[in-house]
Amino acid sequence: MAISDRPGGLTALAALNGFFAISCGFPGLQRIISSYRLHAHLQDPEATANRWSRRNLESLIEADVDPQQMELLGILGLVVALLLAVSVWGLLKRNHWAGKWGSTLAAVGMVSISWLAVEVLPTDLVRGVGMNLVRQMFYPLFLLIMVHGIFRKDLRLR
Amino acid sequence: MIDSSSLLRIEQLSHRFGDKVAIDHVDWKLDQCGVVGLVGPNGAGKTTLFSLIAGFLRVQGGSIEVLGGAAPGSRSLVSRVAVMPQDAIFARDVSIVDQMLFLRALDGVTGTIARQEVVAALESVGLADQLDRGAAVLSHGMGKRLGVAQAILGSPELILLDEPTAGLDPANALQVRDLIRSLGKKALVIVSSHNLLELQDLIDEVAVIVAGRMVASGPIDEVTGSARRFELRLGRVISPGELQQIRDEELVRGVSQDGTQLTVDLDASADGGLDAALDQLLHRLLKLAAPPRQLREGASLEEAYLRLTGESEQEAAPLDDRTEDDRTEDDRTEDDRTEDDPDESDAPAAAKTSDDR
Amino acid sequence: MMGRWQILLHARNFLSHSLRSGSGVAFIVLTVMVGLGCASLVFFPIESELVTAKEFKENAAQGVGTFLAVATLQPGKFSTLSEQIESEELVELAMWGRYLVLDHPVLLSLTVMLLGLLLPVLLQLGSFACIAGDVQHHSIRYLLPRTTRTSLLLGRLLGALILSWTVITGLQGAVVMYLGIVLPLDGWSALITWGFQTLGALVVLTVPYVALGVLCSTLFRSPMVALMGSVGFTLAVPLIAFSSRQAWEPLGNLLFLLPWGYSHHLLSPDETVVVKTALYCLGHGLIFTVIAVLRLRRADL
Repeated sequence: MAISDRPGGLTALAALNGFFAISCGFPGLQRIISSYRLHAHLQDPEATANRWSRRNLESLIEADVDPQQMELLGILGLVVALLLAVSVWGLLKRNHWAGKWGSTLAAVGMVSISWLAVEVLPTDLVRGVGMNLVRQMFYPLFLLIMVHGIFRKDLRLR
Repeated sequence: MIDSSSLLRIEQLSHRFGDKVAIDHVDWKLDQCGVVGLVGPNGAGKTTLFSLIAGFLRVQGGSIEVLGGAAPGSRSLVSRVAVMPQDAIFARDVSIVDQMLFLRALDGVTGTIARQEVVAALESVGLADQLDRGAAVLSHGMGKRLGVAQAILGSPELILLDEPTAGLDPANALQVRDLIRSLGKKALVIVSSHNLLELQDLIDEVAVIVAGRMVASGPIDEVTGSARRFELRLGRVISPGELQQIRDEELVRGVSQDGTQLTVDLDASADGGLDAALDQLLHRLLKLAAPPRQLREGASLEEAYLRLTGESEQEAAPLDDRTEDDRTEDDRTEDDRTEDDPDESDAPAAAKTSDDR
Repeated sequence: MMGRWQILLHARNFLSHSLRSGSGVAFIVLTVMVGLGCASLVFFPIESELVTAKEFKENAAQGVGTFLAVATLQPGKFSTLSEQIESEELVELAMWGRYLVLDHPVLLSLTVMLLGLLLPVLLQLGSFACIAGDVQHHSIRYLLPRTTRTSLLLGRLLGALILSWTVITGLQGAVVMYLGIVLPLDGWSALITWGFQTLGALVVLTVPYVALGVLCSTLFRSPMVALMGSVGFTLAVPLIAFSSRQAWEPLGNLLFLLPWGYSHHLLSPDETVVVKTALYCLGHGLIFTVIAVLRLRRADL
């Protein structure tokens, strides 16, 4: 007897969510750290000893990056990463709330991050614009279609 | 010339897997609806024969004509033949009910009618509460019942069931047997099984296959050679002398003893048939002041099977020659194998050979 | 009639089954990601130009002052980016659009060409388990009493094709929409025409490669072996053809074992060449399908 009758697609989706959780979580963490450094640098430019860091922070200031907005983006990234991580568990356990709605919120969050990043951050920090952005938008859309369409029955309340 | 009224006609059928001869010049003809048993030792070729009749394997030599002359797997047989393969598994990613509905849709039946039929079929094998589960979580027994359920969908005229009750608990096995009995009234049902006692109650005809050759086929009385086995429980243990007296009775073919338990093979072919043989046996027991406390018909088919397959000589000593301990050990081994080891059959061997080619 | 009905049923069943299986999800995600990645690579110069132009405008506005900027760029006069770019100041960007979409669409079709190189491999992911999976687990034995082997194969092939076509159409739709928004165009008609032409090319190109995947799926009992077989053959043909051509020129014709040798003509500006190439592709697909049908009909399952 097999351990689970979970469709292979749900397992694949869970794996992809895990991958995207990492790819949202690390930049989120990085943005929070950068926002604190930026804040400190704005208060005391001499406090930043490392020359490379100082140049990096100054380029952010030149691009009119608001440390608070960056912090917000970072926190949002971590929240989305957390939601994705929860959805990994939910999809594997075929849990209605964690799997279906965790994925839904995470998908909305991923779209919001991409859109806000374009609005808030300079182009070079967003890592490309345009077509890259379309690519970033694909997975959340795909995730929504899968959890609300294809796996609707598998993730319903039991 | 093939008789077009035959439900199944096999002539000189041969099949090989590489060097191994799986089926060796088999002839078999079945003309009427009913339940037919196909028995034989592991690796005898039962599953290969099923696969050939179902059209899973290509016929290499000889001919098979199904339901009035069609070749196995031909278009005219679509939805008229149902098969419960022994080693097939259902798709993992789709629920049971969806898979069954798809099978019914292939027969051309969809919508509410199809759903009702599917639910009824699953109810008849006790799986109605598993509709939305995936096949992967089903136990071995449940998988077997699902296999039976898909085979009875629609109105197949020929149903091939490979070990349908293997691994089932007694209640479910009984349910499946009743189902097979009712199917046999309107279709030709061929059942392969190692549980000979079970088959004996179920089937009208039997075919015995050994090492790819069909060594016997026909109505069950014909194949068992009118030898009928009875199990008796006596009030006391009888002495060897008394046992010899029973053995000396004209219509007693063989006797074995296990404490108060007697296993007697009677010759039902004489004038008076089984009744006369039983009468003789019971008279002798009453004369010996050892009236039976319990009497039930035993596995006559098993006796015939052991005789026909030669296993009685190799593995089990004839009843007359066996000591009490021998008999118990041998029979238990056989029982254990058929009851507890349902997967033991020729199917994996055949499939493996096929895969390895 | 029943045969056609069964083919459609098998196609529908394959589609829903594919979307629920791990390999199906992997196929969709990989194809779209790789496709958008190709598009992103090709459009990068255009996007850079747009960003530079925007920055130039902003810098100019900052540098010369609000009044001068208003006077020069006349913001508010243009309702869309396209109109803004069409203005005299940013005329070079409009040229980009015209140059790519109208004058040299093949350049724009680089993304399609890149996809054309990657798709043959990606498509195998969507078709390798068509038959092999069911044969390996003997699930096919539940189907065979209720359908013919030919209907089963044709249905699964149709399902794999529809899945591939849907993914490609979605991908191409996203690219066309993006281009329509980003590129300064006089109208959408030229872009939509281009979109349909390239979509047609990809759709036709899909047929032989999916048929090859299905063929391998009938040749091998294990899905993994079928996948390796189809991907291996797809990649080995050009590799062997190119390397052996050095030794003996005619060996280069090995390339024509698959549409590698002629598929680029699907983007030719000459309609006759395109139609001919499409027919070759379909012919290739037909050959693979016929071999697959013959193989499945004779196979011990």
